[in-house]
Amino acid sequence: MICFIALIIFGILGIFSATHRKLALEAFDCVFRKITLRKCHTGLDIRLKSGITGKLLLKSPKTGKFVYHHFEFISGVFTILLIGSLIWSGISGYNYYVYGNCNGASVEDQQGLCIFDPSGDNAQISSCDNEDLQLQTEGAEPNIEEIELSLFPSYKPNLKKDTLVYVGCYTCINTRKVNPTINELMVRNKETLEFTFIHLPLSKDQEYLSKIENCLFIKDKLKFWEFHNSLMQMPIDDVKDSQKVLSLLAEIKDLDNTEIIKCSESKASEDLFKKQLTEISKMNVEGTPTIFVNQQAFIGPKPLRVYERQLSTNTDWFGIGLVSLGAVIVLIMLYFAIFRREK
Amino acid sequence: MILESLFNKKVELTELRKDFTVLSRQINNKPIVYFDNACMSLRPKRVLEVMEEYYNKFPGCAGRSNHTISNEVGKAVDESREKIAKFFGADKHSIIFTKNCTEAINLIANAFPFKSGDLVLTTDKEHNSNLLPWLRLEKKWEIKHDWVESGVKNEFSMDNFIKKITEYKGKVKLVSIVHTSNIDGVTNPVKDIARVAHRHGAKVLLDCAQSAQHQEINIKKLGVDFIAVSSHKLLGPNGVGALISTKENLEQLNMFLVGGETVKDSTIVDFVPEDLPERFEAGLQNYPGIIGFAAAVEYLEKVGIRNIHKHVVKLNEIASKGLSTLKGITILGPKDAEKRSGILSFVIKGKNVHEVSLLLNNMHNIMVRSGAHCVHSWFNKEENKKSLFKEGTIRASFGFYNTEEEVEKFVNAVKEISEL
Ligand SMILES: Cc1ncc(COP(=O)(O)O)c(C=O)c1O
Repeated sequence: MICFIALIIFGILGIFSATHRKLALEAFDCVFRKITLRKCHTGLDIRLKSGITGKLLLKSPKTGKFVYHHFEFISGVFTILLIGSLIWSGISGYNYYVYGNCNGASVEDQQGLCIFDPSGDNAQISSCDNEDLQLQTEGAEPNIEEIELSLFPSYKPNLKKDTLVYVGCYTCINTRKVNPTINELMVRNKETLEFTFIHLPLSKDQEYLSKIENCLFIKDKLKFWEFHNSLMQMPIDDVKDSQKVLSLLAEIKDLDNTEIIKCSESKASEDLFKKQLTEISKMNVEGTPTIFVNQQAFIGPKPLRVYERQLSTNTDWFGIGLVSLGAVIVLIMLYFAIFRREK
Repeated sequence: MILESLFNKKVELTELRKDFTVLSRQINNKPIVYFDNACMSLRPKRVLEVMEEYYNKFPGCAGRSNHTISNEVGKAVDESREKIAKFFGADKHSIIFTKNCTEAINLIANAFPFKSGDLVLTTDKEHNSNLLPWLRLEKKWEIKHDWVESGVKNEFSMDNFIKKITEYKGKVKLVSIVHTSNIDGVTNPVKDIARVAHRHGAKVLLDCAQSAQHQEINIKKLGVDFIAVSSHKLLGPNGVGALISTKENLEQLNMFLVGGETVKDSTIVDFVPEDLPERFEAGLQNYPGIIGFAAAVEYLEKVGIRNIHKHVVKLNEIASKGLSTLKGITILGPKDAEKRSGILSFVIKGKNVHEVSLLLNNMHNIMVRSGAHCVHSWFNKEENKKSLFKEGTIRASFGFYNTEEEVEKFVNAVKEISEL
């Protein structure tokens, strides 16, 4: 038992130091070979037991005696705990790779504590203080299944295989953090990925932006994307200044900006915007960015690999690698357990 | 505590201990207790000083060049050879320096003029160093190996020996035996063995690795033909040992390791062997080792071998008495500590021998050895595999610099562990 713990611990330390590598090999020997009596060689298990109990016996004879007599049992308990925590760490590592957090796919999981992302940067969202918007109902998972996406600006590829719905806002730091990642994802998958941008006006004074965008998208899709990208690159304080935003609109070549502004102030635009707000309320999002890739919601700015893994066009090299590694380890263990046992 | 020297000059043990720097070492704020002298003895400062002197003052080749430094080494090595030879009662031309005791035995195994069908006789308690050379001969050439079974309490059986050597009717050409066993400290009756062996036309090689530190080893008085020793077990440096013999016996050996120093002259097709002992000392020798070895025997002489023997036996008696009052302890070998020299090999019922030695070390800095002590063949005998000694033993081996207080500490520590 103690050798098993030693194998894992020295195995990990062995990555960094040669002395521990030697001990790890000894521990491997101790675990996988049925050690016959080696009269000139002290086994690692005995060395560890004597090392631990020797120290304890000096500090507290009672505890030392107890540990000495129940050493196998105690190391058994530690082995189980160690295996448990290893499995748990493995799952956390896998989750971090796949979902960008340690815990799993759900919103609650994504916002839980994660050792690989201790500051929680990957799950940070900007929340909403717009009273027109009734956002997430407590505990409900974000979803887009029943949302009328055609109400929002979108990009349609030649051959749609996946969908990406990007709920963001121009003045939010976390949306800006993820924006280059989403752009990269789009460039890489432009032939197959359908992209919908949902502007979430986190405060009331941002609502006009949704209306302008809607009008612009109806008028000229390409110019919409140009305007969208420029807004994302503009300093946040400038986006908050409507004069500066309207100047940006005016700068777009071959566009009659007064027509767009007029459209945005029209009744039709107001109606469309109201419909959009109703749809947004149904999505159960808590803030921005919330990104849906084929129905799976991601809260906060995640690394590119997390989004990419959800695409149907993605080959899961990580999964394949993980399974192969597991298989190789099992085969090696079997080999040593069956063929290398000393008679 | 007083040790009386040969010249009746009183020697204070605490004073002597100061010569061994390591004895003042503390580990985890506790002094160390070194009871692994059968594996390796400690060195007095004097040994280190003379070796340092070689490197600092005359670090050259002996007997090859003609310059001052070379002459100084030559002189130092020559004087050392003389001192060491005298210590073992031999002539200075009859001592061949080797790497250790093992190499000295291997030298005989390879150089002895064996003929096909000849036989080597050992005991059943030989260190691997005095067993494997013969097993190898048996595998490679048609030279047989047989052994004499020990008698009661693991002591040498003269009856078994006489029976065996008589049975072989002159085929036994070499009796190669351990003087003092490293597993139980029992000393074999060498003079009688040599007498019987010689009567049957066999030469005697004595493995004195253990005995040389505690007993007078005089090749003439013991009546044997060859003696093998290691310097590191008798206060000397590592990496040097010796084969001690007589001119007549060495003249009969074939050359073994050859090269520089072993020839007077050579042509492209032949060579003229060097005289004794250089004929067997191929290549540049371990000069500082040899000089240190001589300083060690000088030191032993100063303290007095008889004093040393008396002292280690006394320590062994105290320890054996202390352990025999404890429950679950079995001592290997005769009950009488005097018959076990400075070695106390024992087991504690229900306790792994390695575990005990590690606990002694980890808890009290008491350094002993555990296991089979390289005498696997004895522990692998069917009857021993079923005995209390199946895992080997815990071996405490005393040196003359050890004290009664250390022994008491050891007994108390064993008591503590046995009660776990
Ligand atoms: C009885 C005996 N013979 C031979 C040897 C081998 O000595 P070395 O390893 O110095 O050659 C030892 C070493 O412990 C020994 O105890």
